[in-house]
Amino acid sequence: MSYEMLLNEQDVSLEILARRPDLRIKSGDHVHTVTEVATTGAAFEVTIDGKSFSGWRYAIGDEVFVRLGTRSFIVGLPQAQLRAHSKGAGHDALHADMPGTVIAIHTQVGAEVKAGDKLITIESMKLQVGLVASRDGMIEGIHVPAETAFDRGALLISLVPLVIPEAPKAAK
Amino acid sequence: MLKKVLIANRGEIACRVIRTCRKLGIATVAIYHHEDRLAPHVKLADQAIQLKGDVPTASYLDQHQIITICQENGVDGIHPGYGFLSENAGFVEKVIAAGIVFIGPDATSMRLMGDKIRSRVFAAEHGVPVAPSAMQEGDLDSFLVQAEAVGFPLLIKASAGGGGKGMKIVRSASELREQITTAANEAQRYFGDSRVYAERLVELPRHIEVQVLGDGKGNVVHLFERECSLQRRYQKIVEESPAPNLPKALRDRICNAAVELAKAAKYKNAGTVEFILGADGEFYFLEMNTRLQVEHPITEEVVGVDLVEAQLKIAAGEGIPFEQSDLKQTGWAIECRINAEEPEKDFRPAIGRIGRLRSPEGEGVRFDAGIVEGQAVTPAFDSMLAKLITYGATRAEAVSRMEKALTELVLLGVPNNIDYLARIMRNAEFLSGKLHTGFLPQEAERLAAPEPSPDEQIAAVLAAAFLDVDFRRIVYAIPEPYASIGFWRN
Amino acid sequence: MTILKSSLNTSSEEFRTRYAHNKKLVAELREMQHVARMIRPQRDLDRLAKQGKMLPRERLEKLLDPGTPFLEFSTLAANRAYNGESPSASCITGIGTISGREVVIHADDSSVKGGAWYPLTVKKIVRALEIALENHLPMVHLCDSAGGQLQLQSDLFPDKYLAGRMFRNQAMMSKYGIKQLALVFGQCTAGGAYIPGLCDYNVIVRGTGAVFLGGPPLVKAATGAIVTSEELGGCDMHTQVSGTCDYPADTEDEAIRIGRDIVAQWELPKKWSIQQAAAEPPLYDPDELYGIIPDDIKKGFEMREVIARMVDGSRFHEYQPAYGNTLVCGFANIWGYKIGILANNGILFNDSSLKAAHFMELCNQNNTPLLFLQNITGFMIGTEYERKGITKDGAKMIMAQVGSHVPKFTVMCHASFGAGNYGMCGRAYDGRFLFTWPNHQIGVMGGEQAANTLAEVKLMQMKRNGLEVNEDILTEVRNQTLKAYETQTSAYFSTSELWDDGILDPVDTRNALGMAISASLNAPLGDRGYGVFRM
Repeated sequence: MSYEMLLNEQDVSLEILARRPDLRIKSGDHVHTVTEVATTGAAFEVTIDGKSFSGWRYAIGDEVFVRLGTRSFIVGLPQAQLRAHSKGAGHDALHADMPGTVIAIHTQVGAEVKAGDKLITIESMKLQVGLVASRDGMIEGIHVPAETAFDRGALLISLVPLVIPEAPKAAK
Repeated sequence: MLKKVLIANRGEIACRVIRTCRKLGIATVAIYHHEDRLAPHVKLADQAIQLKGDVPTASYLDQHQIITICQENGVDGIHPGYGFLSENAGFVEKVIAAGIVFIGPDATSMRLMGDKIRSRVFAAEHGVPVAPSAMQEGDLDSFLVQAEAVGFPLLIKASAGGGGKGMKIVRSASELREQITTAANEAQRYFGDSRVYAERLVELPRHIEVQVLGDGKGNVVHLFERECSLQRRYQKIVEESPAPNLPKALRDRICNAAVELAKAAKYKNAGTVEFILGADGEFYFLEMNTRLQVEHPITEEVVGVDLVEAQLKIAAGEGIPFEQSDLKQTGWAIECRINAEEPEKDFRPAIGRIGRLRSPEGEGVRFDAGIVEGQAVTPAFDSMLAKLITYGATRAEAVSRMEKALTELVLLGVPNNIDYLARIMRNAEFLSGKLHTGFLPQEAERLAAPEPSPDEQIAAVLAAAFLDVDFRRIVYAIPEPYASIGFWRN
Repeated sequence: MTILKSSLNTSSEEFRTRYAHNKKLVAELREMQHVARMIRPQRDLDRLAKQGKMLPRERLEKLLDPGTPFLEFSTLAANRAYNGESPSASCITGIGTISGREVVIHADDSSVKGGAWYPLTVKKIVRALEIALENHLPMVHLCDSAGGQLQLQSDLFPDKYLAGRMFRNQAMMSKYGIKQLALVFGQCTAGGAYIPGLCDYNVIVRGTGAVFLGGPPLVKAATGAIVTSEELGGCDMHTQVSGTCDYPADTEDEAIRIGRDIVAQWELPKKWSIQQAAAEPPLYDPDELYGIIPDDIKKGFEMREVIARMVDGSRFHEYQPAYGNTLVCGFANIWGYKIGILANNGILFNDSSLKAAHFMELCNQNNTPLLFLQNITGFMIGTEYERKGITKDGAKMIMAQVGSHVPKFTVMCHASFGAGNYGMCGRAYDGRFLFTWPNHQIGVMGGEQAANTLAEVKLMQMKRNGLEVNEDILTEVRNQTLKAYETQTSAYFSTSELWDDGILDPVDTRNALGMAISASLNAPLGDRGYGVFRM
C-alpha cells in the first residue's frame, strides 16, 4: 500500500519500506531515512537522511499548509488526492428516500455536476428537501419531471461518471 | 478632544485607530458584521456593535445604520479608516448633519479631489504639473482628435475610476478608437459613468506620493514622500520612505507641490498627493487621496509622528500638532502588504482560514494586523490581511530586517504572498533601488518561486503526512513483531 | 539463560554437503512457490485485465500495511492434486496487518478457473477460518469466486468439514466478537454469497462485484427471466435496495481504501500477555541451518544447533539437562516471546517421555506457549521398554500435551513417524500452527520399515498357507510399498493435502513463529487443569 498525496497539486506517493531500526520511506526513486523529531502543535521537526527540517504546518480538512524556511507548500492528504482524481464514493442513481412531489429541477441532462451540487428539490410530508449529487459526474437522465409525484424508492436522477477509471495493468 | 470615536471600518486599520484612541484616552466603538465576530477589532474596542444585514461589505457601507449607532451610543467622532465610506462625500455631509465629527476632510475638498478630471484642472490652475492630457467633454469623435493631440504613448482612464479598472495603454493612432470605446464601456460598467480621459503615458514611471496634513484654514504641512512603485495589478504591495535615489532638490519640489495643492484646496486633515515621476525627473500630479493611506506607517516610522493622533487633534479643532520645521526624515522604513493571494497564479485572490499566525518580532519590526487564528478569509472583503513594517537606520538595514521578519512570519491556512515578498527583498534590482511601476513584471522571472529541492519537497510532504492519523497509524501503530520484521514474504 | 555453544564445523565436508543439498531443496521450493503464485495462462490474465480487475496478490499488497510481513499459509496446497490445475488451491490465505490490526486474510484467485472452489480450496479456506476462530483474529475476505466446482461437489459440499464449515465458522466468529470484512471484487454466487452475507462488514465494487444465490444463468433456467448481473445482485442494488452490502466502491482501489478504513475502526485486541523481552537476532547465523539439516532421512542431527539459530540471542535455559537426553527441553525467546521448546534428539524413551510431560506441565503452570521441533522416528519398542511401560509413559506425554491450555506450535524439521508424531503435537493435536521444512518426511512409519513389515506379513501368510516362498512377490510388495511411501511421506504431499500450514524455508522459521505466537495471543487461554505431577 502506498500513501498517495498532492504537493502543490502534483501527485506524490510515499511508501513505507521499514520502521526498524529506522523509518525508511520511499518517494519516487529515492529512499529516505526519516525521523520525526518533534511535533508540538503546529511546529514540526523531521530529519531526512540526517538533515534537519523544521517549520510550521496547519491542516484545513484534507489540505495541509506547510511552511519550511522561506518556502510555503500546500499538501493534499490522500482524501484530497482521491478528490482531485474524482474517484469519490457515491451512487450513480439518485433514489427518493420517501414519496413526494418534484418541486424544482436544478440541472439538465448532459450537465456536468460536482458532488454536493443541488440537483432537485422535492416535497414530501410538507417538507421540502434538496437532493444533491453524491459524486462528480454527468447527468444521464432526469426520470421524474417537475410537479410530478413519485413513490418511495423512485429513481429521480441518474449520473454517469465523467472519468472512466483506467483498468489496472495486467500481471507480470 | 473627542470623547468617543466610532471606527467605521474593520481589519488592521480599525485596530490601528483604536490603539491611538486608547493612548489618548478616547473611548472606542467598533462595528462588525456577523462574519467578523471573531475579528480582533471587535475585542480590542471598548464597545462593539453588530451591524445588521446579510452582505458583509454592504453592512460596513450602511450609512444610516452607522450614524444611528453613533447617535444611540453617544459617539462624537467617526474615523472612516480607508476604503468603505472614507471617501464618500455624501456620508461626510450626513455625519456632520447628525452633529458628529468626521475625522477627515470636509465634503467639498473630498468631492473636488475625488473627481479625477476636476482635481487635475484644479491642480493645473494652481501651478502643480499635470501630464499633457485631454478630457472627454463632447462625443467620442471629437475626443479622438483631442487625444491624438496629446501625443503617444497614451493612457486612457475612466474619469470616475481608480484602482486601474478600465485603464488602457495606446501606442499608436490606429488602435485609438477601439481602445477608447472599450475603456468607455468598462468605465460605464464599473463606475456608472462612461466618461474617460487621456493623458501622456510616462514610461517606466515611479509612483511617488506625499503625505500632507491640513487644518482646513489654509495651513498645511507635508511629512515627506513615500515610494509606492512596486505594484501588481495596479495595486501597491511594497512601499518605502524615503524614496530611494531621489535627489534632495527634486524631493523638495515634489513635496512643495503637494503642499501648494493642499493649501489651495484649504485641505483639512490627512491626505496624500500622488505623483508620477519620469526617468527624466519630470513629475506630474496623479490624484489626491482624501484619507489615511494603507501605507501611512512608513511615514510614521521615518518622521516619528502618530498620524492618527494628528488626525484626531485636527478633527477636534486643535490644529496641526506640529510645524513644518519640526519634521525630519530619519532612517528608512519599508512596508509589505501581506495579501491572501497566489503570486504564482497571477496574484489571484485566495480564501481559506487563518490557521496559524506567528507574528515576527524584534527591533524595528512593526506588524499591523487585524487577524486572529481561526478567522475565515472569505471573498467578502479585501485580500489584504496585514502589513509588515520594518525600520532601520539605512535602507539596507530596513530591507534586511524585512527579509528576516518575512521569514519569521508564519501565516498558514490561506495561500499568501509572504514568500514572494521575501524574494523581492532579496532581488538585486530592488536592493539597488532601481524602482518603477513596471518593476514586478520586469523581474517576474527572477521573482518566481524556485523549484523546491527534492529534500524540501519530501520534508513538506512528511510534515503534512505526520499530521494525518492514517499515516501516523501505519508508521507508529504497527504491532510487534510485525514492525520489526518489516517487509517479508515466506 | 545461557548462550548455546555451537560445535558446528562450517568448513567440514559434512557441512558443505548438507548445505548444498538443502540449498537445492529450498531453490526447488521457491520455484514451485513462484509458479503457484505467479504463473497463469495469458488468456486468464487478459480476461482479468479486460474486466478491470487486479490480480489477487496485487489487491493483497495494497490492502496490507506497507513495509510489513505477510505470513502466507499453504502456498503449495493442491500441488499434487487435480493435475496441478489449482495452484495454491485457487486461493491465498495468511496473516498480516491492516491498519495496524493483525488479521487473517482469505483471497479468492479468479485467475484460476474464475476462482472456482476445489475440495482443497474449501479445506484451505476452512483452515484459515479455523485459524481466525482459534486465535480470535479478525478476518478479511477478498471475494472473487465463481463458486464450487460442480463436477467435484461430493468432495466439497456435504461433509462436516467441507463447504458448510466455512459459513458455520463465520457465524461462530461473529458470535465470539471476532470481526469479519468482505471486499466483493467479483461474483459471489450461491454458497459464496454467504461469505459477504455473513461478514459483519462488506464493501462491493460497482460494475464487477455481485452477490446472489443464483446467478443470471440459473435465474434464466429456473424462471425464464433474463436479468443482468448488476441488476440481480450488483453494487447499487445491494447497497441501496437490499442492504446486503454496506459500502459501494467505484474501483477496486477505493474498495481497498474503504476496507482499510473499516479495519481502522475496530477495537484493538486485548492480547494475552506472556513473558516478553526485547527481541534480538540469534547469535549464530540462521543460514547455517542448511548445513545442519541432514541430506538423508536416516541421518540424525543435534537439535541444539537448530535452536541456536532460531531463538533470540541463541539463549536457552535447558530443563533437566542430564535426564532423558533424547528430548531437549527448555525455555527461550522468539521475537521476544517466551516459549517452552521440546525438540527431538533421538527416539522417545520412558525417561524422555516423562521429561516431556513434566516440562509441558511447567509451561502450562507458567503460561508459556509450547514449541515442538519434530525429528522423531517413534517411541522405543521392545520387551524391555514395554516392561518399563513405554505405552503408559507415552500416554502421559500425549495427555499432558492435549490438556495444555497454552498455545502450541509445531515445526516438522526432518522426520515424523509413528506415535512420536502424536506426542510431539502432530496435525491432529490442535496446535495453533504447523509448518514443515522441505526435507521433511512423515508417515505411520518409515518407508523401509513399512516395506519390510509388509513383506514379513506376506512371508508369514505364504508360510501359513503352506506355499513356497516366492521372492519375486516379496520384492514386488516391498517395492510397491516403498514407492507409495516415497510419494506420500514427502513434504510436498503433506502440504498438498493441507496436513500443515505450509512449507517454510528453514531460515524463515523464526519470523513465521514470531507472527504465529503473536497471533495466538489474541485468544484467551483455556482453563488450567491439575497442578504439576512429578513424573
